Formats: sequence, C-alpha cells, structure tokens
Amino acid sequence: MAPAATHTRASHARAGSHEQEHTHTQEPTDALAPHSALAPSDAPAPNNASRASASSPKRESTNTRGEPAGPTQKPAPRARASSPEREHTGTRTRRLGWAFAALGAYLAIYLSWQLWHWLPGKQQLGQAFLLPPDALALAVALLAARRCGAAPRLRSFWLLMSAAIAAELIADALLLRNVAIHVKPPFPTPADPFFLAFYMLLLAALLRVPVAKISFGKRLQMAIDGATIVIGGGAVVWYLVLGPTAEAGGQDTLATAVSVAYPMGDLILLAGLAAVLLRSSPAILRTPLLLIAAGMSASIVADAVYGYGVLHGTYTNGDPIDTLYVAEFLLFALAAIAQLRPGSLEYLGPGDPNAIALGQGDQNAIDPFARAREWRQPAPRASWLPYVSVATAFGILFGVELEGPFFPNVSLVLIAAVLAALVATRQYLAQRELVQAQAALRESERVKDEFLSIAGHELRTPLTSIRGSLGLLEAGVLGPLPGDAANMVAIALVNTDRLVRLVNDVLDVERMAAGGLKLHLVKADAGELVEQSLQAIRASADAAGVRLCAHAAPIAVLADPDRVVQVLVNLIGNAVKFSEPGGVVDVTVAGDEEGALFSVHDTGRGIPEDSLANVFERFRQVDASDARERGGTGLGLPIARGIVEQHGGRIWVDSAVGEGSTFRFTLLPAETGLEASPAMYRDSLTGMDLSAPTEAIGA
Amino acid sequence: MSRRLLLVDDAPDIRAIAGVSLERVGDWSVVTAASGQEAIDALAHDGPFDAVVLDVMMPGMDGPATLAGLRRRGLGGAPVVFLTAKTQASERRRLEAMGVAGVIFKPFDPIAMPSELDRIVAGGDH
Repeated sequence: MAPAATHTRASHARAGSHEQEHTHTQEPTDALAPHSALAPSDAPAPNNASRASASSPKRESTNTRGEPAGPTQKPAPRARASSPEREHTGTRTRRLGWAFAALGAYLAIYLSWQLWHWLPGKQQLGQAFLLPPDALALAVALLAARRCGAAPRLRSFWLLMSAAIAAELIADALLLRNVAIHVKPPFPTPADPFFLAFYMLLLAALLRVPVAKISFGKRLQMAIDGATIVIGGGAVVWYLVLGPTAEAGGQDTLATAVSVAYPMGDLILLAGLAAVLLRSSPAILRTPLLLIAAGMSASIVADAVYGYGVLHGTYTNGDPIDTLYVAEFLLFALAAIAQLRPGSLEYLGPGDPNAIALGQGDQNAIDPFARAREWRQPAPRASWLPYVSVATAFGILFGVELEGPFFPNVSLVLIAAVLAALVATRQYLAQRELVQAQAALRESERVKDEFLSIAGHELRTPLTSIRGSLGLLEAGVLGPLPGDAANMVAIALVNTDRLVRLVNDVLDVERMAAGGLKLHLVKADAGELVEQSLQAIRASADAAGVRLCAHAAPIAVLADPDRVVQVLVNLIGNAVKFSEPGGVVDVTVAGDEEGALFSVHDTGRGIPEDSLANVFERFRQVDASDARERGGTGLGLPIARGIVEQHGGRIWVDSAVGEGSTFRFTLLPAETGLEASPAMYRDSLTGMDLSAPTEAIGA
Repeated sequence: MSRRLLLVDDAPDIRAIAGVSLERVGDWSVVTAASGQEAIDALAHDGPFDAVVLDVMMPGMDGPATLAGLRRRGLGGAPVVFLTAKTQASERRRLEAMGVAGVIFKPFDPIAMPSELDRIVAGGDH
C-alpha cells in the first residue's frame, strides 16, 4: 500500500454472529471434551476431588461428570459419554465447514466480479469489497482472543492481531469515503497512519508468539535465514518500489517519508514472516500461524505489485491485484477460525502446561498431556525459504529491466556477495549441526546398549547363584533330598531356567527396540547353521520323544551365525514343544541365487486362523496356559522376526488346526555383498562401520 | 591324581558353587582366588595348574588384566576359560580374541558345566 492509496476491506456480520453463536452453544459440551483427555484412566476418587478443588470451573465440571454423582446416574456411562462428545465435535466441525464455505463463496463472488464486473462502479465497489474480509477477520480474531483467556501470551497475540486488523479496517473505510465522494485527497491522507499501524501491530503480534528455548547455534541459524530472506526480499522491494519512490521526490519531506514507509512496512512484514516460519512455535498455533504467513505472503506480493502500479500510474481502485488483499484478510480470518477449531484450545486452563508455556503461572502442575510439549519444528519445512528468497530476488532483479536507473550494478553485486556469504555460513552451520546430531545419536545408542549390557549382567549374576545352587541340590551332588524337597527344588529349578530365558529374551527385545541388533554378518553355510541348531535342541527333542529330520542343501547365506541359530532354535524348539511324542519335526533349506528358504515343519496341533496374525507379536501365545506348561517366554517369535528382518529376510507361518504348522524364513545370499544388505544400510545410518566384520558389534 | 584348576571369581557364591560343581561333578582339584592379585599369588605358591577358570568382571584387576598378569608369571600351557554374565556375541568375540580356550556364560548349569569345561580344554590349543 502506498501514498494516495485506495484499497480496502469490512464486515461480514452474518458470518461473525454465526461464529459467536456456534461457540456459545458449545459451552456445555466443552466441559465434556477435556473429560476424556483429563481422565483417561479411572483415577481414584479422592485424588480426583483434590485436583478438582484446585482447578478451574471447567475442570471441576469435568470431574463431577467423571464421577458417579448419585443413584440417579446410570452405570456404564463412560462408553456412552464419548458419543455425545463425538457428536458435539462433529457439529462444531460441520459449523467450521460452513464457515469455510462462506469464505470460499465470498472469494468466488469477488473473483466473478473482478472477471465480469457485473456491478458498475469499479472504484467504489472494488474498495467496498475489501471491507467485509477485514471485519470478519477482526470479529473472529477477537473471538479467538476471548477463547484464549487462560493463556495470556496467546491472548495478547490475538488481541494485537485484532488491533492490526482493526487499523486496516479503519484505513480501508477512510479510503472508501474518499473514493465514494470522488475526492483526490491531499497526500498523505488520514488513512495512511492506520495502514502503517497495521504493519507495526502485526509485527508486534508475531513477536508475542511464545518461543521454545533454543540453543545459540540454532538462534544464529535462524538469524542468518531471516537476514537472507529480508535482504533478498529487500533487494526486490528496493529495486521495484523503494528506490523509485525516494527518487521521484518533488514532494515535501513528510510525503516522501510516508511513501518510503510503505515499502519499509513490507520489509518489516517480510521479517515477521521469516520469524513465523523459522522459529519454533507451540503446536496449538501451528495452523493459525501458517495461515497468517500465507496471508502475509499475499500482502507482500500485492504491495510490491501495487507499489509498482502506483509509481507507473497504472493502478486504480478495484484493480485485479486487490484480490490478493481480499485473500489476505480471508486467510487471517481462517487463521482465527482455525484457533477456534475443536481440540485446538480444549486443553488450555490453569495448570495446563500448554498454558504455562504460553505464559500461565502455575508451574507445579504435572503434565498430563504429551501434546502440550509439542513445538512446531520449523527446520525441515522452512529450510528452503532462504534459497527461494535468493532465487526470487535474483530472478526479478535480472529479469526485470537490468539497466534500471535506480539500481547500480555495484549494489547488485554487493547484495549477491552478502547473500552468498549468508547462505554459505548457513550451510556450514547446518552441516556442523548434522555432524553433532549424528555423534549424539551414536552416543545415545552406545549408552542404551551399555545400559542393557550392564542390566543383563546384573540380572544374571544373582540368577547364576540361584541356578547353580538349585542345580547342585537337584542333581543330588550334595546328598539325596527327601521326596517333597526334591520336588520343590525341581520346581524352583525349572522356573529359574524360565526366568533366565525371559531375561535374555526381554533384553534382546529391548535391544531391538533401542535401535536394532548389531549384526555380525559373514558368509555362512545354511546347512551348518541348521546342524548347530539341531545340536542345541536334540536333548529336549529326545526327552519329548520327537524325531528331528533335516534336509539342508549347502547354501551360502549372508548371516550373523549366532543370531540365525537363535532363530532356528526358537522355531525348532517351538515345533518340538507343540509336537506329540512320536511326532516328527522337519527342517529344510532350499535355495537359489535369490537366497535361502528355511522351513521348520511340525505335525503338532496347529495354530487357529484368528491367532495366525498375532504369533509374531510380543507375549501373544496362542493359549495363555502355554507359557506355563511349555516354558516359553512369549518373545521367541518376535525376536525371530526381528532378527530375520534385520538380515533383510522375511518370516511367515502357514498352519491349520490339527495339521501342524510350517514356519518359513528367507535369508539373502552371501553374494549380496555387505553394502546391499538392509542391516548394513541401517548400521551405516547410525555410523557403525561394518566394513570390517571383526570390528562389528554383535549381540 | 586329579587335575588342578585355579578358579578366580570375586563372588563367594560363585566360588562355592563352581567349586562344588568342578570338584564333585567334575574331577578337578580346585584352588580358589577372590581377586586377580590372589590368583597371581596362588600361581606362585600352588602352581602350576592344568586349567584356569576366570571371571571377567572383577573390581580392581579384571579378568583380562588378570589373564595378562598370569601369563607374565608363567602360566605354562594351561588353558584359560572366561566366565561371564555378559552374554552378547560381541563380548564372546572380544574375549576369544585374547587367545583363551573358551568362554562359559553365566548362569551356568553346575551339572553340565564340568563336561563343557572338559570339552573346551580338550579342544586343545585354541
């Protein structure tokens, strides 16, 4: 916007009141909404009550609803309680849908008018069309400020937004008056201070957005990004608007100052935009801020084109570029509506950490919401912005009249140099940060691994004493035990063995969860792996009267032998456990250059169809009594799956009740080469150097 | 005369259990030491031994350090077997790389352990 400028924006009373009514009717169910979030489990009543007394009325109502109040209340309301809640959310979502539709309709009407001018009076009408979005945005921003009452910083953000929009509304209204009475007002006009106030208030609002604490390095990066964007954008604004305006001169000092102030306002807006996009902001402001950023972008583009148009005398009120101003304030309105959206403010209240983060005082409250800790991380999404800014700046500067009188080539080169330096610095900082992050990740994996290793050692040490003592007693090494005592010791021994297995399995599962097992991949012979596994299981198979049959072709596979033997022992052990005496367990390996297919077949009772999908999940034995009777841990198959998948293979099962089960898994051929295997790839991500297998960390 | 074995572990439980296991289930004559230093002293006073069973995690002088100390003082050709509660394959590789005859994981079965030890010791010069 600039001198003698004439564009605008006003009130959409219907939409505004609609919004108001909609939040009003929501009050009763509002109290319900946090109910599910606040009381996810059946907290004991006294605890609940003490919480209620210390918290807001909203929360009190929550708790009174959460507890059975009296005999009149029917039991089992919990499941049902969620249904009105959902219904309510649905209603609100529908109403928001209507709001979106109304905004869209307004934009459509405006665009159709721009295209066909179905109503005469281009200047007056064009200016008048700007007012409804202004007024609508003002109304919903005020509403958002009211809804954010529990979070002072958020509230002042929306109040400043409202003030900015109000300034724009007043300015546009004043201009409409001028256009309507066909006055060519002296410049500057009374509208100008309001237009300029809009920029300042908007920036002030953006500075009120709560920011996450960040490191100095991060802050430096952001400052560089911001500087790149502002210098890139500034070069364009200067070249297209600022320079020519200042040079046009001829007017008095005040007029020149005001003319120059507009493009400067755009630069401020650009800085604010950079701040919005580059800083971390609270998750609940995510959508509103993105919409506001979109509105500001529209405004900056519109102002540049507008300024250019005014300079060259091609702009009149109702120009198509006004569409961007309409869009700007419709986007601001959308931002405020997004803030009113169900779920976006439900958690705000005294004691809510989100509210604390946004400036609320109660520091002692315990965080029941993981969501409250969420901050929008701008980095990945906004990292391209500085580059876009540089590219756009040079695109425009080189593309448009290079020989322009206001823009000596020297300054162009200077700007290019500064931008290049900024981008290079940014690149360096990002690179360094990446290296540090990788080191931190490696360190945290090492710490986790070490913890599990020590935990394993500490758990096994007492088990060694117990297992050893019981083993000596049970075997009668220390003299015969009386019948009952022998029985008890035998029970203790069996369960100690089970505990040992459980410790090993749980630690394996944990190790997988903590970033995967480190494989020690070598070229191994499939037949040999099967043979080793059979040796380990032969004694228990003989004891169970189950015959083991193996048909293993000599196939070279890429494997961590210990881990593959673990898989085979788990599978064959299961097969033996679930076979009747006299049964046969078949272990075969077939293969080609694609890899090896291992299969373990038993003639046991089989797995019911509805359990097939679950057998590889943790603690999902088909029958809960299996764990007790058959001594399993419920973790064997999940571990087997984890190991096979880390090898780049696949594991699955075919089974029918009464006909036995066949577990199959694949391994990659030894020729796969270390680089191609997924496990290798994963380790290269974590920085493990597995090119030298002797250095690899196994386990 | 039965073969002589030096059992080094800082935990009295393990010395007792493994001692009984090796003497009564196996046919070893066991000398115990509660630390690396005791082991080195035992080697000087009661040596030589036909085998050494050595705990890995001990306060002060740990298993590998004790192994080095014993070797410096002339262990002869006696095979050494590490005893450890760290059961990762990487740990076993680390220990085996020190040129020991084998590794036995805790918790061990006191009935099966002596024959496992025999198998490892018979495995010869690893």
